[in-house]
Amino acid sequence: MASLGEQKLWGALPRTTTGEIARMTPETRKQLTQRLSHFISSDRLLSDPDRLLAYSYDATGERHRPDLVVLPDSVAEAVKVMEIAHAEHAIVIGRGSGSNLSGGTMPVVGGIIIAFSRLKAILEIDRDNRRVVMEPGVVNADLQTRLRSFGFFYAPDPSSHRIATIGGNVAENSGGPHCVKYGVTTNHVLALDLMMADGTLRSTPQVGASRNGLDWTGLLVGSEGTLAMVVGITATITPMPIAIRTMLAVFSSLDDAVRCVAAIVAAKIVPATLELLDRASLEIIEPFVHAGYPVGAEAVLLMEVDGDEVTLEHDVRTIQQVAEESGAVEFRLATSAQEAEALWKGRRAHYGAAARLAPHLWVQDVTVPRPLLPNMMRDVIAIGERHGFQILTVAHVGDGNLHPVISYDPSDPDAVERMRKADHEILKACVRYGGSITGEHGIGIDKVDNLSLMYTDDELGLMQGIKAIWDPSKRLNPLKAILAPHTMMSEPAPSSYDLKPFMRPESLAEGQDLVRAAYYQSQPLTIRGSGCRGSMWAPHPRGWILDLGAWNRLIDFDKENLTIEVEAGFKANDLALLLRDEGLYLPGVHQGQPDTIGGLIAANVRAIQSPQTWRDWVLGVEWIDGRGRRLRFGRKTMKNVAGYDVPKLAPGSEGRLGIVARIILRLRPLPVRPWAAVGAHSDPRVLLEFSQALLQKPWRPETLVVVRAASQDWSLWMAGVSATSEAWVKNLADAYQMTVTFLPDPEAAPARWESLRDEWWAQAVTQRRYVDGSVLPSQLRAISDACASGHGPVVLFPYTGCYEIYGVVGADVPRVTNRVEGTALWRTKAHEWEDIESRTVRLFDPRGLFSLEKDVTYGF
Amino acid sequence: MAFDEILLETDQCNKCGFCLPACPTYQITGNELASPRGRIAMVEALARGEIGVGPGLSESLDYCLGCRACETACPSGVHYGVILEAGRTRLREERGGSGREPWLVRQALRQVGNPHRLARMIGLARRLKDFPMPRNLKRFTPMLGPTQSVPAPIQSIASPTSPSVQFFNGCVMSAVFPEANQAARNLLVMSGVDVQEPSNQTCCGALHWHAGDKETAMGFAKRNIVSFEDNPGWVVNTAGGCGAMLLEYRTLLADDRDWQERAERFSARVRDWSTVLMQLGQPLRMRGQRERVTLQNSCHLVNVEKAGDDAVALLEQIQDHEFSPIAGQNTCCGSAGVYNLTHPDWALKILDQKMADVRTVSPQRILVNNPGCQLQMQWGAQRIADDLTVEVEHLATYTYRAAMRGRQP
Repeated sequence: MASLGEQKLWGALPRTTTGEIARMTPETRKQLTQRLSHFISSDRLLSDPDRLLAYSYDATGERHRPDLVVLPDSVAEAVKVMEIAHAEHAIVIGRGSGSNLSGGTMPVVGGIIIAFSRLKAILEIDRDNRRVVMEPGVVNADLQTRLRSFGFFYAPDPSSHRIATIGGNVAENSGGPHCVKYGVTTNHVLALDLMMADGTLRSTPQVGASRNGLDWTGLLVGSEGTLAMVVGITATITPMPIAIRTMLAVFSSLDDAVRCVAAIVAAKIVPATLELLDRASLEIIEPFVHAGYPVGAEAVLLMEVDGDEVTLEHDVRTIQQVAEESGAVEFRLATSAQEAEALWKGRRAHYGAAARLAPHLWVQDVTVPRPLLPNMMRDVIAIGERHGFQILTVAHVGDGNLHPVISYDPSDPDAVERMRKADHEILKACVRYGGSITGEHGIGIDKVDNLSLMYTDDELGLMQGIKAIWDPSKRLNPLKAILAPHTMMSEPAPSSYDLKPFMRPESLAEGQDLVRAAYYQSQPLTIRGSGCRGSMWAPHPRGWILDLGAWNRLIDFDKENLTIEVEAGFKANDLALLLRDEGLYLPGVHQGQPDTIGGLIAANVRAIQSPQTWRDWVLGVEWIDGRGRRLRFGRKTMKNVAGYDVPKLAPGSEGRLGIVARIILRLRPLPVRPWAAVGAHSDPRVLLEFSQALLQKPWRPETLVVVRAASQDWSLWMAGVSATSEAWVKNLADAYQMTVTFLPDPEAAPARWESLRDEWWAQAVTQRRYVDGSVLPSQLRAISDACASGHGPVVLFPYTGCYEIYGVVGADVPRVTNRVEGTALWRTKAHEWEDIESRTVRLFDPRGLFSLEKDVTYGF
Repeated sequence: MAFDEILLETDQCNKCGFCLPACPTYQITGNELASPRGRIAMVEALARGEIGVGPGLSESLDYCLGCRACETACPSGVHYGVILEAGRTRLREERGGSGREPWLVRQALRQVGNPHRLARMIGLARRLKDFPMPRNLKRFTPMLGPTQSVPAPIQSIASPTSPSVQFFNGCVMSAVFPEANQAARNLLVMSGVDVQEPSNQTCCGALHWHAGDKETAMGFAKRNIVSFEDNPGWVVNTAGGCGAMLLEYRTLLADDRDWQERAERFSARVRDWSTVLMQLGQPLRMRGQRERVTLQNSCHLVNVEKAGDDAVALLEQIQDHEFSPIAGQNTCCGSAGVYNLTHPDWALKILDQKMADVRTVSPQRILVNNPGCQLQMQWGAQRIADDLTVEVEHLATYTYRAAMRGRQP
């Protein structure tokens, strides 16, 4: 067998990095082929150099020949392949349908491709717990079809959903038109089954099940197959909306269109989709598909709202009014499914129409803060003109996510060169506007050289360090997503900071100084915000106190973009008030809350108001790590994962990864017509059954908890956003013979409930009695049963299955995460994650300044 | 055309992968080599000299059904059929002729030019199918369904102002399924269309062309063009596969300066009978017999003629029956010309998936609009006969009965 690296395929771009990694030798290839052919039949094992050409590409446009391709029929087979690859030190690349647009699956230095296309079983659709369990090769559209028959859908819907696999969606953290309302892949994945580089299997702890511990699921989503292979996915599913309205607004200027979007948001409407097409796109689409788009307009907005009939009527009216006020020259509402389909037809034809301008297409993917979208789009046009291209841009405008499309001829080296240059300038421009060089396509091989536009060497070094923890032998999809930094990490600068048992630095620079001094003196530090969370776990901290109370500045409040950046010591109460005054809110904070934002994130405190948690609201984090370096990850755009999603590690980290110094948060407009109600029934099981039924309805309220207040009576707290859903809730409650009382002050009720819970927490800290944990949502009755013998307040979260007991409960309560009884602290921990967790903590904090062991007993 | 000119076509492919869900062979294998994108990549690699004409290329291209569903799915408008033919031509050149087809295929190709001989052969086979015969032939006998009687011709009611069309019989249709041709003619007549039947017409040549015998195919094409040139009306047929081939005469003869324009004019006139009935005919009252029926649309009708919707629209006009579409209504059944004879293993896998779709609908009748599909679906009906009794019938005969019923008060 010959080495396959010698023949360079047409279309392979020259790369400086590929030389660093040796191609597989012919002997290894032969050895591997032999070993694999023992258990993989010849039709599922490609080794002949000709056949390998069929796996030399993805949708990016380059070509590189792999050394072997395996199509496993089971996870067990994939494991065997991985073990053999590990033993032979072979590079391994996971592949779904190969529809990605950043070269993420391209074998630039050869290796074994494991194609998951045959592992396409949907293993379980669990309506009661609103989740689906599936293999990685399930095609997104096939999943949607199956779910539709159950009345559910899976929210992330990338434009390639007809062929893209869920495994690939997870690898790239895919978005799609509906993400503006429903969030991207990472907001919907609950847990992952992973195959590690050595072939061992492990599952990530379920997202949200435990408040503390690092969010491995969050880190793995979007990691582009460079940390581990995803071989199983558990994801949340959402009830299908009752109705949808599709609208098209036509504008004579780009600014008007984007202003219209801002005005829609200001009118407190969250559309399900908000797509923008620019003038150049309209000009080519219309002759191609005759979708009825206006030629000559500067921009159109294709909008969709979903919900119930009454709300939709209001939304459509408001949007029309807002659009006209923003200067729309025309507004169309689809009055039938056919008309809606016709409006979408134009958007869907964008790729095809662009493909007819030249043989090849390059689809770029960048994000900017939404208000800067017109500037960015103008830059893109200018860049195109400079390099001789007519660039067509379509944007998921709600997310500030643009896809400039360049049509070029791949057989013209000059055109390829100009295309690459234009592409690089687009990336530079988006970074200048504070955006991210990828929104939903990933970094892959294509943009890996451009990561330094966004990150310092220290930041790149940290991400490279994460890669090394997961894949120490560097065999998983090498040279993708993240490269080693240009410079080696050096020791921090010396510091003469005067360390004391209690310190309250004024500035971040002072904080850095302080940490560097602690680094050289190996002085343990205990970070403190308001002190109301950590005192439960470490009432007598051993480290010197680092009080962040002075770091309470507002760094950036971009109302139109719905983002805010604050320092960690910013008070939750202050943030809640500030937002309320602007007609905005963040479900994790409320008036009267004593915590700091940093504290809430470090402790990953749940909210009654929303099933989402801090991982869904934190867009970016700036750390001061254990070397005193400032490391900033994430940006103030909704889709901002370039490299690894490091900000996901902050919630629940309890200060062990250094000081969370600044935080970028995602905000929401306050609802127009909120309602709040309390449901009552003597039997908590009825309340839970009712909740389960309610959660399968599209009009379910976002606030939904079953509570036993101090009085020992159980009740159901609910708060929703539509008058129609209010009526339906009432009807459903009748069927359960439950009484429902609607509250006269729906705006204030959730905060009042949260304040009650704050009190219970404070009491629990004083009395040192607290238990929390999580079960499947459908099994929460086991918790209410167990609580029957104890006393004290209890909160059950039917959305997630989590529970919190602020009092005494018997030892038989299932699946406890944390238990505090007097001086005894007990905590469960996933044993299999200990190694990766401790190495991650050491990566951030090599001398263990922040990771002082607390007086906790661990159960496994 | 020099072979490397095919790069102009392959360069149009952006490798986006949108063709993969449309491809029946990718669906059963999950293997890129058995996908349109993979096949294009193999032809491209061959044209760039990166691979040779070898087992890799032949495995990739041989297993293609040629159903062209990928072209319908392609956002970039890649001419997959052209790329496939270019690759297959290179394969045949290297192999030296088309000597590799199985016996049954060679027989079929020899007979199709002569409907009478073909009809006699099929009749013989139908009688012999319960007798012992070699195993590799026996497996195909379930395709031979029962013989249907041919309806009597209806007297034309056409006036001089009636639209006039020319009927293309097709060899397999006239030999194996003459009842469908007659039913279609009768339906057109009933709806006030004048139907003529040019003499001297012959086989469309599709099977020959796709098996690499371009010479014979071109000969047939020219003879048909001449036969249909007297009258400018639409060229009507009842077989999706033939219709697609007649449409492709313009491609087949594109390099022939003498015939190029005549072929273009001919191809532009080709229509499926269902299209003609929907567009030219007077509306007919049609009544079913309270059955549940489903449709296996001809993939060439759907993907090449782009007229699959007319068959559906026709079924939706019939009253007193339940038209219940299967999930893969428009995807290839695995017949694909002689594919089920050359690659019975894959054809069977595709067919079994198709029958699983049929089972979920549980119709009493599967309607088809192409002879290959009819043979294949009859085979499929046999395979699930243990738990579902389902008839397979051409859409034309079914519609004709419905129209006759509709005449009664």
